[in-house]
This record gives sequence, C-alpha cells and structure tokens, in this order.
Amino acid sequence: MEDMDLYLKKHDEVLYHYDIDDHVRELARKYGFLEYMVERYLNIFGSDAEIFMKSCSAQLKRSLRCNTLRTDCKKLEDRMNERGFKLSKVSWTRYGYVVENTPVRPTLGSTLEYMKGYYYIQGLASMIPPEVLSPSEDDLVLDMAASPGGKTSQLAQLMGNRGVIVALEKNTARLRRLNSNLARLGVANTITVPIPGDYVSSIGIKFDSVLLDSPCSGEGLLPVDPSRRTKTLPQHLREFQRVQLSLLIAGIRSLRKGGKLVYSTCSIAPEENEVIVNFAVEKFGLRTEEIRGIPADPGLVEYKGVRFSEDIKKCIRLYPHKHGTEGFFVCSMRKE
Amino acid sequence: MKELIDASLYSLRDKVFMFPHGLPRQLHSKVLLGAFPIASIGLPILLKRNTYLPLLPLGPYLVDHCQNKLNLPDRLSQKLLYGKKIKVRETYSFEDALLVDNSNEFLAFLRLRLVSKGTEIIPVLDIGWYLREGG
Repeated sequence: MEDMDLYLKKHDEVLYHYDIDDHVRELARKYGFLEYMVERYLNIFGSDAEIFMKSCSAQLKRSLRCNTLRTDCKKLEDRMNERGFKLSKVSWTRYGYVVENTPVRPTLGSTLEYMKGYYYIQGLASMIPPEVLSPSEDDLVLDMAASPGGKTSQLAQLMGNRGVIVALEKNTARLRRLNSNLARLGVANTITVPIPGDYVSSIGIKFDSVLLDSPCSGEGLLPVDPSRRTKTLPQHLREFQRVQLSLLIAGIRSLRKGGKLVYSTCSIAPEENEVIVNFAVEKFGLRTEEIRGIPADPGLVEYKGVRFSEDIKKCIRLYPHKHGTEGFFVCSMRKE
Repeated sequence: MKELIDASLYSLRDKVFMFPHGLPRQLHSKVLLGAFPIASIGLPILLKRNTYLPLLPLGPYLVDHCQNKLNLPDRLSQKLLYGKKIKVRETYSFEDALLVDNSNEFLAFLRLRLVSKGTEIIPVLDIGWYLREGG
C-alpha cells in the first residue's frame, strides 16, 4: 500500500494540474463539458479534441451479444428479424451484433428471446475484455467486479460452461442482478462470491486468469449518458485511482505465475488506465501483450509529460469518433 | 437431462444448485469447508420449502421429459409471462404443467385449477420474472 501511495503521489501534481485558458473555456461552454475535462481532451486528442466532443452528442448504435449457451446465432437472427429487428454481425467480435433497426414494440430488453436468454444487451467495446482474456475450457478464472454479469456470462460462453469462474460482487442489489442474469443466460460454471475484489486473497487460491473490469468514472460512456459531462470531478478520479490500483494489486497477487490478467475500464481517462497499468508493469513486472484484430488506438505512452512504459503501447483505446463504440480501455498482461 | 444427471448438486441456504461438473480439488474442499462466503454455485434449480419447488433454470431441462405441457396462443402466453392468471374453456387431467412455445421451449411453471366452465391457469414462476424482478 505504501508503494501505491508513493506511486500515486509521484504523478499527482502533474496529472491534476489544469491549464485553463480562453480556448478551453470556450470549448467547455460550447460542448457542455467541465473545463478540466476539455483541458484533458486537448492533451489526449490534440486537434481531434473537438471531433471527439462533438461525437459524444451522437447516439451510438445499440448492440447485443448472441448467447450460444442458450441458442445458435442464426436462430437468434431469424427470430429477431421476425419481430422487426435487423441485426448485423460485427466482424471483429465473435458474437457481437449491431441493432440496425428496431420496431416500436417490443423493446430490445423485453422480447421473448431476451427473457429466454438468447442474447445480452452489451456495448461492442465491452465485449472485448473477455475475448482478449480468452479463457480455456479448464481454466479457473477470477472476475473481480462481476455485476451485472455481461462479461462473466461471456466468459462462460467462451468456456462452453466448462472450467470455473469465481465472480466477486459485494453489493447486495448488484449481486442479485448478477445472479439473475447468469440464470437467464444459462451460466452454470460460475460461483458468485459476495466479497469486495480486494479481499480476493481470503479465497486462498491462485487463478489461471483474471478479469478486472474495474469500477471507473465511466468517462467512455459520454455518448450514452450526457450527465457524465459534468458529473466527475478531479477528486473522483483520484478516488477511482485508489480503488483501481488496490483491485489490480489484489488481482495480480491472486494470479498464478504465467497467468493472464486483463484490465479494462469504460473510461478514456489516462488517470484510470495507463497510470494504473503502468504500476503493474513497473512494480510487479507484468508483461503487456499485443491485442490483435480489433480496430483500436494504442495505449498512451506519455500524457501531460508523464512517461509510461513503452509496453503500454500494446494496450488499446477505443473512441466513439474513431471506432463507433463507447470509449474503452483494455490491457492484457502476463505474470512472469 | 444427461447434463442434469452428470451435474454436482450443492445445497446452499434454501436453494439447490447444479454445477455442470466437479470442482477442482483445491476449490472443492474450500467450498465444502465454507472457507469463504458463497452466494450461488452454478444454476439454482430447486427451492426448499415444505417440499422442493422448481426454479426457472430447471425449466429448459424438463421440457423434453415432461408430458404435462401447454402450448397456448401467443396472446395468452404473454399474459402468463406478465405474471397474470388466465382462464380457458379447456379442461386438463393434470394440475401442474410447463408452459412451452411453438418450439417446445420453456416459458413457465403453471398450476391448473378446475373452475366452472373451464380451467384457471396460474403462472407459478415464469421467465417474465427476469424482467419484473431479476434486475
């Protein structure tokens, strides 16, 4: 923990210092963002910052994941077509579809096929972490922040309901939602455990792979939830950083040697992504792994003058204005 | 049904869960010892009351083996999936049934009650629960 505190303190002054000039103020007013956010976007995107902010006003196409634990995808396409939905397959995910057309009724979340667990409504980018983790059928997998269960059920699907997933969720309401989704989707290989992610050592076993889809500010969900333009303050980012780092440390400690850990967030904030993953690389010697076949930008190796390990380039970032998805960060790491 | 027969069963509080295969040894012993809290282990299939009541994940395993099944017109099935009772003119020789659709896929556990000029059909547990209560 001392290491973690020192690490965060080392970068704090630079990361949380904002140069707010007239240009920043004007853009903040124009697009309805907090000024400090605009200043950060100028640092991340440079001349594309305005394109990014503009893209946050455009609605993303809805998407779903076909659940092969309950049906085959051709059947799902046909059934949904009969109900007036037009689905088109997304080439870079195994089971992802974009919903091109929807009827007035039923809604996507109230069809008979939804109730039968034929699909899960899921953002395209959020389908990436389980595919990157790509667990095998006899793996022992840890999902550190599991609710509402989209990624847990996707892991189970990829494992063909074999192996074991240990899914952690401490909040009672969120646990209920997780269990309901797992039951609906026919997920049979999962043990849900009502403890916080950073208590995982109390289970006392080492896992073959770990998914840490971390709690975050949700700064990647700006196109989905406009309230996020003014909701998160710098102090919230600081708080998230602490949670993310302590979860990551717990995840690394419970991962067996040679095992794989995938860290992801639905945030584009370097404070919640590269800064966190860099700690795993520098302090724990984790090796980042290339993520292939997904249209995405590389992780940042420098932000606001803070240099990260060159290895962070292998992580990926997705943006609404470039990739047509929610903003997302994914990093795959191996414990040596 | 083979999946169900091959599964390991775990009793946890008021529910019985099915896990599709054995747990790895290190995990199995910790589960049996109660070394850490567990909310669920696999799919919940039975609820323990005075007797054992089926839970929704058991439904799909039963449709190929139960004979007491009703396949009703969509309009009536939909009412049952809203958790509402319906009344039909037909009578049946059984009191408990599965509601299935045209593809013989599970939709609900039903209780049938003879009433004057027909049968009252009561959804005991239906997949609409996932929308109403599941979250």
